[in-house]
Amino acid sequence: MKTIAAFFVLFSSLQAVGCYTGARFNLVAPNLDYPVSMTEAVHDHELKVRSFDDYDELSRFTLTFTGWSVGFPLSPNPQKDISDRLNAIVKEKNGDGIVGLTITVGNNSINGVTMALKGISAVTFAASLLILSGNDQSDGLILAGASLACLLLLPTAGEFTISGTVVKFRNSVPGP
Amino acid sequence: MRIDVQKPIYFGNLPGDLRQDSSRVEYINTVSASTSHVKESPSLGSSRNVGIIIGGREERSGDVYFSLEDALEGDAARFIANVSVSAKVETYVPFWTVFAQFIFTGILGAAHSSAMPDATAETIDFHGTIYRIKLVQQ
Repeated sequence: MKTIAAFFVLFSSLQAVGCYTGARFNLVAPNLDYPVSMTEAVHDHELKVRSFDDYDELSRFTLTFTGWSVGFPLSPNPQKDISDRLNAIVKEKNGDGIVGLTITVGNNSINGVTMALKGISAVTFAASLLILSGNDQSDGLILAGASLACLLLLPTAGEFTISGTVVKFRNSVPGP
Repeated sequence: MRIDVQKPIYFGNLPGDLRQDSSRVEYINTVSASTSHVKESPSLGSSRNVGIIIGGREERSGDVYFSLEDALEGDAARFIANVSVSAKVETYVPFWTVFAQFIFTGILGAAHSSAMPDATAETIDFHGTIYRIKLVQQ
């Protein structure tokens, strides 16, 4: 009977948590000192829309970073503020803003490791329930707690790449 | 094919001049768009190269761009600001693969099959606010 129960728990555990992992991230920039446009168009200081022929492209840049989260679906989304990094890039090049901002997100290979550990944790959790039903309840409790914590708190990651072009307006009055 | 949007779409806050004088802009509406990418049978470690792009000059951003073009259409003074992005990455392994590996090869087999994802997916949700620049009264 215990074997059947353990088999059922193992089956359910694997199905519930062993085959999926994911993470969510919020990318924001609420404190930019310069215009950062995702298109080629950008307003100058006089609020005229400038495009290709109206600015000089000073340099292209690429930022990469890893966003970390936990695999538990109900966990809050980590928020990443990139205002300071974008401000520093424009300031360093003495530009007026950024055009063509591109955001790329991809899976990280750490998520494969997380999947493997979740699979092991699910099996361990099922085994611990079997132990709990026997005489040695303290060991089973520790094992169940540890494996459940692993299932809920294992890290997941996403790779962000942000690129764009720093530009300087031609024939423009200086900004404030 | 290159998709041009001839109006600004500002990541983050309104540009400095407009932020300092918000009476120059008129709120129109909010706009949201979403795009996702699924890759089947990625090998472990190669998933780093899978991604989706919004912004810039890339064709792959088309779905989002078409939504934004609609939002901006018909008014030269319109633009989008306060853009933020929510990104989601997901990895899937078929349950039966893991289960069969566990039956035949034990925990390590299950772990190995878990680490070889059947599919990875990335989703980006785009959120922004549509504004228009008010005409200055002479």
